[in-house]
Amino acid sequence: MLSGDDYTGEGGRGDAMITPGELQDITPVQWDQQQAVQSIILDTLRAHGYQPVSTPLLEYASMIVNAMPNARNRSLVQLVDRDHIMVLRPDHTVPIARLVGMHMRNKTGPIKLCYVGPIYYRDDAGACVEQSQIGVELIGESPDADADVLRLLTHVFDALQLSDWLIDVGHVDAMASGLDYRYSGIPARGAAALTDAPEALQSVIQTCDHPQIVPNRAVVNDVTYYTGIVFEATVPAWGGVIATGGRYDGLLAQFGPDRPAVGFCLNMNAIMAVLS
Amino acid sequence: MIRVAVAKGYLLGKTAEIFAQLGVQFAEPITETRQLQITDTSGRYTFILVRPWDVPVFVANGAADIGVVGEDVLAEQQPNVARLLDLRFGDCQLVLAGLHPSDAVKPYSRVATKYPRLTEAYFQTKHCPVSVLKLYGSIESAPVTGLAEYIVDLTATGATLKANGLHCLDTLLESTALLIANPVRLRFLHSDIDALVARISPLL
Repeated sequence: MLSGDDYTGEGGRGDAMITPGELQDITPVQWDQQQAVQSIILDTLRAHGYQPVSTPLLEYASMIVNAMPNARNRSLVQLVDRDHIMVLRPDHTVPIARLVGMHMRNKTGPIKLCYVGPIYYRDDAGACVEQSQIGVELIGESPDADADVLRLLTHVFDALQLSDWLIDVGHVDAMASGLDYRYSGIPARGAAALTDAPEALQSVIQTCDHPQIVPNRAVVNDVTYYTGIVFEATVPAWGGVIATGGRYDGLLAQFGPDRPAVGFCLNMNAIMAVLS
Repeated sequence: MIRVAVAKGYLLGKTAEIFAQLGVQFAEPITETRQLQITDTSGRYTFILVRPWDVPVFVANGAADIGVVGEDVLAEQQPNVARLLDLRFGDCQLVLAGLHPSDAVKPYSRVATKYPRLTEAYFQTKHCPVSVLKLYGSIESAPVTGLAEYIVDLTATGATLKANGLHCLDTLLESTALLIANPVRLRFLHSDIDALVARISPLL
């Protein structure tokens, strides 16, 4: 049997006072702050008919990698359990698609689900990072579903009393690839971005008709399961993205009946930083 | 107001020249100031003066909206920034150098560099295992002191390499200065930055 004395390196007594990678404790004060914000968001989502679900922290690596081929190696936190390679879930959308395929296979009409919980990935330096997320999935045929989830996101911002947000909306069929604009010029944003844009993007911008919801060809997302609109929400005080989302028709078919779907998730780490 | 991160030194001088042609002026010569942030007389631009390797950090994290930085630094750091424009100054090469000309690098050699990521990638494509030593400066003294057999370092004229008895063996990367932007700040300042790029391009 190994005892604590056998470990002198990582995880041994020498490291008793640090947490692995970028993982962090939450102290009582932080917990209260985060819970307060979380309940404002969850209350908003539930008020719009979204029901909370939860999936395991661990998933089979094969399931995740089949659904998100570009997640392989680089960013997944993997471990071996008996004869299976497992991953800490890098995302909620894929596990929820599996949940719907397993448990809500015969449900008719739109399925409105929300979730809260951490996801895990490795940063560029290879350190394990935990990100707390809250989000929704709107699954099944539903008119104006794209606009509905975008408006729901604006309701969340209203509830949080955030006013200076922007939601930039692109489409997988009309977006710049990567961030190198040296040869192509800075991608169009605003009305110019709608020229020859896919119908779904035109219509969602028109339906939302909100000055802070703006079409942008520079919205780039490396999530491979998106098939339609993709969007990112930002605030000026924060150099990063606070919420992301998009349409992912086709993912549900990997686990059950083929149903269209659209959703978003809020990065709670970013939201807490913005609100503080 | 657009916040511009620039490294003090050569790139700052050339950047200030370009902005001067756009009518951007400072109350004191920007290349001689002791201030670390300096706003132009019109109040439209604030230059944030930082170390070269810190430019992408300021831009990627939104402390600066745009920045001027060598492609070598971007290639090494791979920061999440938009590349707007090749500014066509600050030409230099990232080279592999050693004490003997026409030397093939022997497996398990030591290579000293400020660019460990690019160096490791280069030797992987050559299928040559080496151990990479990260240094922060005076890379050229590594071979002669016996710290490493080879170096990978940036050179503009080759003069420093020559002065230290080193020969260029291969070029890993040709680099010039680039104008970069924070992708999120680019949304809030889209028309301003778009217009700035349109005004700079014909000057290059």
